[in-house]
Amino acid sequence: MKIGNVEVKVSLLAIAVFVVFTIFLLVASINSAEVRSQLIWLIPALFMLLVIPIALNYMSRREYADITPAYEAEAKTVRVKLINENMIGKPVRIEGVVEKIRFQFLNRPQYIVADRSGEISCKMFTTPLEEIHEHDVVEVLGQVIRRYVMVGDPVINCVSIRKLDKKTVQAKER
Amino acid sequence: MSSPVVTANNTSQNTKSYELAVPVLSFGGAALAIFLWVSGLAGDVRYTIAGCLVASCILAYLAWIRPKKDIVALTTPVYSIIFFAMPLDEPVATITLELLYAVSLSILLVRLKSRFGEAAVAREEGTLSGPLADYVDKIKPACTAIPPAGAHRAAVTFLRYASGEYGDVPDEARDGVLALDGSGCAPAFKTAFEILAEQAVITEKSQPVPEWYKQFASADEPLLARPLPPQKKKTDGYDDGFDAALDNALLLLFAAAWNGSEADRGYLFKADAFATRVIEG
Repeated sequence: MKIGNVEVKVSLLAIAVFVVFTIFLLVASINSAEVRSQLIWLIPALFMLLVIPIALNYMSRREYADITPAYEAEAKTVRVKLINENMIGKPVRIEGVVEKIRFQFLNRPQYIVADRSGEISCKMFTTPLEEIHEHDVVEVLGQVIRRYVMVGDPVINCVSIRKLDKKTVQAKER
Repeated sequence: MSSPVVTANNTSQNTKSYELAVPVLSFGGAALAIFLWVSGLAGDVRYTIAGCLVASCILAYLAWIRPKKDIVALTTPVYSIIFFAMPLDEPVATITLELLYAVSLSILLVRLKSRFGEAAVAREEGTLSGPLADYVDKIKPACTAIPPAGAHRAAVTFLRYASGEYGDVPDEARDGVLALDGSGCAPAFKTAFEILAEQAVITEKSQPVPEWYKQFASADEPLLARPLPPQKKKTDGYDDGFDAALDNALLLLFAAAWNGSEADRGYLFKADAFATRVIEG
């Protein structure tokens, strides 16, 4: 779904919640006249279960789209191994292969990206602009943060992730 | 450098005891509950949940002391407090819950060990350990000729690079080279400053790896942490030499700073996890 220039995606979890509550409402309204009398506000409330995640996704994607150019200008291309806790808060760019993807169903994907020097978690708090799959070669832009805000190993708060052509990466390495 | 080893051994033994305590306490609590219920002895079966409570606190501690934190293991005490605060009335239900919880804690312990690595080794403040300590010790004799100003510049240059302040590295490295002039120290130290300066500029400007770049000479090899790679690119065009030069330069400057500038050790100690990561590859 597209709102303005922003491609909005609803998470599987939000859809599942909507479907479950729709079934509940259907069953309840068939069996209870009292529930049927309340449908005038129950149906809008049900749709809010979809509208709120859509609105949140739209806002976060627009925010990320706005800040990406600043990261493109400021981020330094580094090897994964060089990212350490002294770099907390620094914008970085890494290039590597997506080894694993977690929490995609929550619209909060976490990519494990590896280069020749090591691997690092790249946490994204919204959906990426393009579909990313395991084994894709990607460029990640983001900020070095701690895994759990105040504690934990350094990870990347991913602002942008996009696929790279393997030939481009090899040319850069050469 | 012997005391950290003792501390590491003690930590390892303590960690093993704590790991053993997780299943022992959780299943022990469940076994006690079964014993109380079967024998009909006086005593509330629900209090045996305390075994799971203590076991989950130990599991959370084991998760906390690892460099890589496991949020699932860290939050297990919350669930056990809920079980403990709101016990079930039926002994069978309590025992079933305890057994399932004990199995869950044991699975989480195995997961913690397999996926989140070993516990961080407790070390004395201001001491290094592992391969980094060995390397720093190995090149100590070569560092005696480095003047204090040069060692301090090595510390500042290393720390600036570690902090991602690449724009400041060339100036610091230039001052380092000047400080080493006429000191009679091995030329590898000067080369390390030059490599770091060159690579910091490349990183600052996000430039691709150049065809020609500063490298250590084969005569420098005895002072380097890792051997010089063969002078040819891999089949996919990747050049090991560029990354190896940076790793060796970072480690050489860290060792020079550690051995030559005691005043900077506190700052270097805060970056030793980074240096360890570089040396362990």
